[in-house]
Amino acid sequence: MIIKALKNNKYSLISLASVVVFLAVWELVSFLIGKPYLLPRFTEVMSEFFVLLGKKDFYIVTLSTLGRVLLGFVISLVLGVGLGILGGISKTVRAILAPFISFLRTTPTMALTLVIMVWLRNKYTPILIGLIMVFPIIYRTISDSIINVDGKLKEMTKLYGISNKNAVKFMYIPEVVPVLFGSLVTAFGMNIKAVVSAEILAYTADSIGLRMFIAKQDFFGGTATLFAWVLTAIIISVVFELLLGLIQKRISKKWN
Amino acid sequence: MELRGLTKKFGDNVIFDNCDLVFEENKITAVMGRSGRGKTTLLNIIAGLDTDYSGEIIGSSPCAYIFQEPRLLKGATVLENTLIGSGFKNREKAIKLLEEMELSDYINEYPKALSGGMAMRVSMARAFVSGRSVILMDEAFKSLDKDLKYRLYDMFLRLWNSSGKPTTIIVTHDKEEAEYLGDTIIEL
Repeated sequence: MIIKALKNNKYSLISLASVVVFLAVWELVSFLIGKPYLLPRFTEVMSEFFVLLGKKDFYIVTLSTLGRVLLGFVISLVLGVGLGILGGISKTVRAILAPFISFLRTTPTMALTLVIMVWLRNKYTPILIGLIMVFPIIYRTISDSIINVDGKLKEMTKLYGISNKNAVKFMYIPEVVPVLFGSLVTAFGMNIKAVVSAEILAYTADSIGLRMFIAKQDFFGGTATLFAWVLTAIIISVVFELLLGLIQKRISKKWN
Repeated sequence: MELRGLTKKFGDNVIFDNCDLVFEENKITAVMGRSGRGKTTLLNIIAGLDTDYSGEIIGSSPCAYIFQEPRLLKGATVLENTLIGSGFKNREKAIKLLEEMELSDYINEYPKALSGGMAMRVSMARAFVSGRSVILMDEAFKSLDKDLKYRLYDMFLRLWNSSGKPTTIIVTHDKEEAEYLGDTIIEL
């Protein structure tokens, strides 16, 4: 399927080629520097990654982080969609939420993590940080796309007295859902970055973040391990972004 | 249907100043006039979409409206878009109308599969399936080529006759269209 998709999309091939060139440059620079604790070779990172894959601990850690990522993501999806609908319908709700959304969007993640660590146990901090990163994106996407539904269509539905249920089904969902999935693709990447960063700061047990931190402490031997954990986080992010992207394409194809 | 003492302003710009208009029942009235003379505004007032005016509408009833653009909902199929006109009742009538409009192959398609002319036919079917006694039409054929326009004029007249000749007001720039469709022509 992937090969077929690549054949059909020359830009995917270009992206793949750019990754290959990047890895070749990485390999070359690493070889020239000759100090694996500063920049391990890509092949070394991959071999470390495969060593990790053979350990039970890898799956516990990865699934724990993934669980936090998904939990925060689902909660922010539910909250973002719910409040986004209210914000899209009511100017008052929008005005009430505006300062909080602004606060969440502009406050540095690290600062929020430190504050939340004061209140919450370490294993919950990353979940809340992920939620805080994703929620404003979903809220804004939903409320903006409801507001931006074509006024002429609303006029038509008003004239013919279409019920709220049918307006949601035939007008709002087809306008909002494809845009929502587009923003989820971006939000998921931001979510995983925020969760892993919070795990590092909060020393969360059984987490990719903590494993990265531990690997970093081993200055001369841990850099390849650190990179292997980074690679793990990237793989999770890419897999979910591809999945969400595929869903978005399917949905958009139906109506657009 | 009658409009008495209609006054409508956009800021300092007076569109209608104490204007009286009469539209004959069960006839097609074509309203002509240059851009900015308030043709669309007139239809919006009659349809109840614009309530910021003074004056009186006598004998008004809920209207069906064929807008300049088809205004189809992209999440609804052709049949569902048509049924919007009748509050999702009269399914058989909607299917029959779509057949008459040569759209039977597209009943379960979404609007993205339709050409401009097809989408306009769905908009017309939506208006006729509503069974409303007043139909408003705002330059619906403006962007279509001449051959297609005349095909749609004929379809419109056929449906209009078979739907009990609802009181119809059409707005147009096109004198040929006004003469072809209209029983009466009003110049604004």
